[in-house]
Amino acid sequence: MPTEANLFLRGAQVIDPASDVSGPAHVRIANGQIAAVGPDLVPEPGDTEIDVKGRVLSPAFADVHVHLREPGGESSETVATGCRSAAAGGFARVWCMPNTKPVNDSVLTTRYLQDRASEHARSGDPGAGVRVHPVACLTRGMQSERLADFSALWAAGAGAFSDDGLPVANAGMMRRAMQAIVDLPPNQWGGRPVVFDHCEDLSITGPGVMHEGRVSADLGLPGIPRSSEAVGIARDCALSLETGCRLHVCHVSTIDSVEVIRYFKGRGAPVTAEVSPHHLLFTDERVRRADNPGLGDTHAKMKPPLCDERDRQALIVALEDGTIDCIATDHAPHDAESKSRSFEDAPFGIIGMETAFCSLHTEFVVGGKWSLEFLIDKLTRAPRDVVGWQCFGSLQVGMPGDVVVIDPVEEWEFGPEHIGSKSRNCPWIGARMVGRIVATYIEGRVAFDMTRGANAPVVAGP
Amino acid sequence: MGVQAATVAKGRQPAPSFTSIRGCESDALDSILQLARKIRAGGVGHSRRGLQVNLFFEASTRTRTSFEVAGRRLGLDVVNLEVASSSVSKGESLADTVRTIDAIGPDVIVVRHSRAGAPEVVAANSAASVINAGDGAREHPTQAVLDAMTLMDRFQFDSVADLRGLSIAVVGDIAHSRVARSNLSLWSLAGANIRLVGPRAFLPPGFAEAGWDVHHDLETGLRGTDVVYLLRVQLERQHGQMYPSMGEYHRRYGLTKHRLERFAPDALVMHPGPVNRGVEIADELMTDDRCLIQDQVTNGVWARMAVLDFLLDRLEKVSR
Repeated sequence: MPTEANLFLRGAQVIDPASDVSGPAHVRIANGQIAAVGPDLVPEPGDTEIDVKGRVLSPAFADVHVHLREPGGESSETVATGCRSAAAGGFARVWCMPNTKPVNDSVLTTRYLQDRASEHARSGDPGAGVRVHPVACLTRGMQSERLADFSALWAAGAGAFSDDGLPVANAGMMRRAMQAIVDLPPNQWGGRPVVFDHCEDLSITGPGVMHEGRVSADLGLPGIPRSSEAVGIARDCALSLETGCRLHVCHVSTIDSVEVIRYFKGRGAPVTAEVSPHHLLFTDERVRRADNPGLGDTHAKMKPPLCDERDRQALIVALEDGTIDCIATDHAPHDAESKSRSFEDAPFGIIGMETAFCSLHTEFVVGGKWSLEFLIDKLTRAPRDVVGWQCFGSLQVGMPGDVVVIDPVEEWEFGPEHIGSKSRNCPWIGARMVGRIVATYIEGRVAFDMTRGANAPVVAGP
Repeated sequence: MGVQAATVAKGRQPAPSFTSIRGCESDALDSILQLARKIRAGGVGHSRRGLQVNLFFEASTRTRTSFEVAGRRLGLDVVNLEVASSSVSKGESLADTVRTIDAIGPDVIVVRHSRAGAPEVVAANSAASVINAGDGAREHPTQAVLDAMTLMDRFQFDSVADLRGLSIAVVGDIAHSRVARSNLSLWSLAGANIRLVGPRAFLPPGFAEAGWDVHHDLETGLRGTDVVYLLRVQLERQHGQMYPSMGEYHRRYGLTKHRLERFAPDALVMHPGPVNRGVEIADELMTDDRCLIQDQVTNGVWARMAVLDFLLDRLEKVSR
């Protein structure tokens, strides 16, 4: 790694929810780490000074749920373009799901993904330095038949365990997985392994492609009954309570799911949960195409599906009261060809890292419902506490120098040119945004600079 | 959306297409229906030229034959392409298949596909006029036209607007029915009073949430209605069993002479076919005077000729 000048970021509003800090301060990053934070700091000789007056500075965000498609899906994303996307959204650290081709059920693939991220870190291209934590499978081949080698995978750097969109079909198998995982030792950052759980009973989902409700009835699209998710969550929360294994419920989408999680948390189950920006912002009405309300918009097709307004409100309340712990994007790139198919034939998923902060900021912070501190907390301290790794999510001295600089007032229109991902399957293209990621620094180096865009090289390679 | 210029690939002239009833104006529907009657009366002696490709991704004998006869009677060259859905899933995308066909230069593509919205994908990748012959559970617009024609004949109506106030009960697998969805759009546009009747597996809560008058009991659903529109039921689907058995369905929802006479003695009976005799409808009703099923089939050809002729007429105007 090239040695970088030390940074002195002058005059921002510093928001670090993990340290309960919110106020004007300077931030000094030395040797890639947070060296000091305070209103009375002065730069040291040789520091590169950057004026960030009028901006907000916080720990860089972490996203515990993304899909980077590599290996096997490079037509829609690679580790490198995924890192670009992350940095453009203010994220310095991502957990990538194992539903690749082949799936990540091996030490080889787990190591390969970390190598790809390290290569990109050395490239100096946008997104360089974003840390990629490969989530490994619960069962071999994600086939729900034989358990993966959890201990070897964990030692190889697996970030968590999940069978993602093919949830372990057999409850007994899931229980055995949890029993094995709960006994693994903590990793170097003190984090214990967590099962990331996409909860869905596929026998209930059947051929469903969107939320079963008035819109699916109207559009003639097969519906996904709301029970599909809640049934899966109830099963796995009960197993978590029994085994003591940490369970993290991915992308909660319905009011029933929220209530199941609330119940099991109340009983002391070691359960956390995430919600995606799109579930906080949209309902199934968004599935209607703007140019033809009788057809489905493939950029609103994802799993779990967008549900109704009652669900959306329940998710907002749950995030506010802590039943849902953090925000994660479920960034799911798909190439243009696959998303130009009919709604039923198009794949599930939308990209989300570039837009996570600005879309939520526009709706909930500018809209007056949340403080900026609250939103930043759910993108920094909260994901840190989900995995329990004491190596990110705050500006405490000695933490990696991963920070994001935000312009909280800029009004702008989000467009394809702001996308770092290789894919464009984004429902926010053309949306008016208030608040914008100005820059993302990782270990004190620029990983994203708004003035140079999401794709152009930002610094020369080593 | 309905009769409209579809979005087409770059540099192409948009062609008028008929992909859904939703979005249609009643004037356009009236024009098509009047044309259908004129054609039936022999009053319109068109001799069209052009190529019609029937692109069927799902097996269909009735609808494909009806479209084929309609095209030939108008003077069109008709080519039938039955593409098994599986061959598409093996590699070539729908868009690529359509681009290949488009290179042959069809004037009209009639498409049936198992996925909602597929006709719009066809229209977006072809310069031809596209007619939807059924897409997934979404629409089957020519079926709604021929059904409207059949009803208007029987009631001696001149316009779809005359269907206003008519009480129509639709019975069966509404969730999976493109026929139902196109008809519901047309009848709603006209202002008919509609009831939906069927078991919950075929009539999930979204229909009531959307404001439809939903009945899970045949008697309350049928009482006093003017028309009973029966839908074909399919109990086994790819993702499992929908309802216990055909016998059970008939016991709860089958239309018999006895039930018709008790609940709605003056009602007309329709069915888009193919009929499961003894399931949706008792054998004895098939030849009953109130049963319009044969009229529906006959009108299918006139209605499809009218839709083809209507689009070709507009296509000429566009390219002129």
